Amino acid sequence: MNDGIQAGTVAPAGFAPVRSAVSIEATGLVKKYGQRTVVDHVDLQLRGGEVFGLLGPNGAGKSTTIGMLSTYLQPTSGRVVINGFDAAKHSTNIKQIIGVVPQELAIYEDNTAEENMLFFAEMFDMPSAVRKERIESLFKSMGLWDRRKDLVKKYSGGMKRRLNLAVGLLNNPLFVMMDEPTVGVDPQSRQSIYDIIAGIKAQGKAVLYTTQYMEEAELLCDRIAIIDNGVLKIQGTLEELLEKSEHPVQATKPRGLSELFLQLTGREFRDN
Amino acid sequence: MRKVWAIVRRELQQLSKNPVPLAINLLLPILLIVALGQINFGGASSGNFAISIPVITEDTGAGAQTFKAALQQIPGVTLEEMSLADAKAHVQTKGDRGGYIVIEPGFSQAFAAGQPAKLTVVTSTDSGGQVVRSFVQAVANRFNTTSLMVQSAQAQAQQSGQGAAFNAGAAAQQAQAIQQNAKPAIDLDIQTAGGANFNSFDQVAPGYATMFVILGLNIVATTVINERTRGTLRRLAVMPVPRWAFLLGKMIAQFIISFLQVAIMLAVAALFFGAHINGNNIVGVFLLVVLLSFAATSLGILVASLIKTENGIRPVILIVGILGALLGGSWFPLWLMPDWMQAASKITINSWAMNGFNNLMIFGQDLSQIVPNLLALLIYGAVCLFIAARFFSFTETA
Repeated sequence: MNDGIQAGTVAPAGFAPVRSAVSIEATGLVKKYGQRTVVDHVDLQLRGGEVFGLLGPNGAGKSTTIGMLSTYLQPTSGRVVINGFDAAKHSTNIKQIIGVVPQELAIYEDNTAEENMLFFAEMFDMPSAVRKERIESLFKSMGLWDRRKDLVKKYSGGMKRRLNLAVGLLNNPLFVMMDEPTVGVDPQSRQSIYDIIAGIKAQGKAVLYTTQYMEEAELLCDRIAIIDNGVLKIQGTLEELLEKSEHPVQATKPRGLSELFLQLTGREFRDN
Repeated sequence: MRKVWAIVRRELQQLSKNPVPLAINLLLPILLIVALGQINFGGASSGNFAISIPVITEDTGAGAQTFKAALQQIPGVTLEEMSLADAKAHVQTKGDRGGYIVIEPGFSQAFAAGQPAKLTVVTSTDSGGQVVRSFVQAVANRFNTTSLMVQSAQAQAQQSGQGAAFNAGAAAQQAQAIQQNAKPAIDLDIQTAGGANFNSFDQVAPGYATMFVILGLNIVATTVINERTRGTLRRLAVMPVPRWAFLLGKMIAQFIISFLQVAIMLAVAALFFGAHINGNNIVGVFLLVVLLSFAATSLGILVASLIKTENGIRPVILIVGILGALLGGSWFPLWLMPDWMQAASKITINSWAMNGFNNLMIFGQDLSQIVPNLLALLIYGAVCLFIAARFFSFTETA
């Protein structure tokens, strides 16, 4: 059990080793709605500087698990500890250091992107100057700076997704939970999201990433867990998972059509 | 509190981005008030005219009977015999009669003797009172003319008796002289009642303003539900935002809208249609508007806390809005309702607000006399808010 900010050394693939400043530990998580068990005794550990992929079909329990890790849902039993803060007792402390990028576009479409960012930023206890700097930095990294004064309802799907992601990163979180953030986005926006995730990881932060796309998990995740019917079936690195497979699986990371598409069409945003 | 104000600001920003619904919400009630304000609740009404005038008969002689008969010859006029206390209650307290007539003792005797016969008319200051005054004045004028004719004929008869031939020019001069020197047949003492001070806008403006504020619960309840369905509530739930800050922010934003809505409607009624809002009651009216907005907004927050879908909200708002308006005196004055309805109306916000507005704007009461209404609205709002805070949850229950 952690009792404060943890520090450790990790070496995520493709990046120089960074000091980890975060640890997430979920033990025996159970979530029941009436007689129905949605998450059944899930154990997870995440460390700073890693992207942890949580894969599973629809209704497997991915979003419910994120709900419990983010303090949104109270577990029926089990425990979540993030950087030494027990979620059952210190949810406010946890909320200051986590970021959640929900599956749905949880932004106000009748407001401008800037109004959205300013509003959500004010929900965190950070100085005004830091807030402004953070918003500007996020807008620029998401390629939305020039369109920040536009109403969100005038945005394309990809722009909305990037704004949805930006809001989840407003407080510069140590632990980011992303629930299928690339659903319905074009390859340009998807690549942008991948780049942002790589950046977060490079800063020694932890990312929990759920997706339906296997190639995405292969590309992004240092460790992967597969959940089905609320039960965690397997977890480990891609290589460990493939080794445990009953049937031989080719351990490659195909880029396929997406890579070809990007090569042909470029990486520039197509927002207009 | 910074988070609360951020929520308030965002709500108002969003509202300002949709000016058309905002304008409709404001203009529709004003149009209704203007149209319905033409209806007079004070005893006279357009269309099939009928007016009932209380009479206190303290002289039963022939002159009094003749006068009453003349009044009743006016189409639509009915005289109601009653005690002075009852008549005062109707005119000054309930406001359902425009005025009353007191036929003073000795009326018939004075009338027969050609002396001014004493008649007192007490009316309200509204159009119902004007109708009563004009009818009584018209009948009194007729009696005065008749008296002149009698006096003139008597003078002519006296001259004929003295053997003088009828001279039309001299008769006309004589009639003029008699008219100048004659005492009126009826000494009409017209008084204006200090109590009821009825302008139909005094009822219609606060009535419809109250109704629309209650129907406005829909706005606050829907914004909470929209936050839930669009996922922004879930997003806020994983940010360090206390539940109370979210509810308070929503409530303050809706309170500002409701307050402005009622204030504008009442201001239009007062400035352009003579509704009785003035220096004597402005503080009371202001406090009523504040607490009415508070109670209504709290009820909206309560509804949003207990009901989680927009389809579930709509019928509840309609029932609360329409029943509240019907029972609570928004559509017609509370005092016109049977006693059981007046008692039942106490469960509505409308009733407490309307009773307060009526007391201030129609019956000229002062702030101290509407304290129970203010307290009731305050308690109503506080209780709704307390229950809402108890039941409101960021999370959905499956």
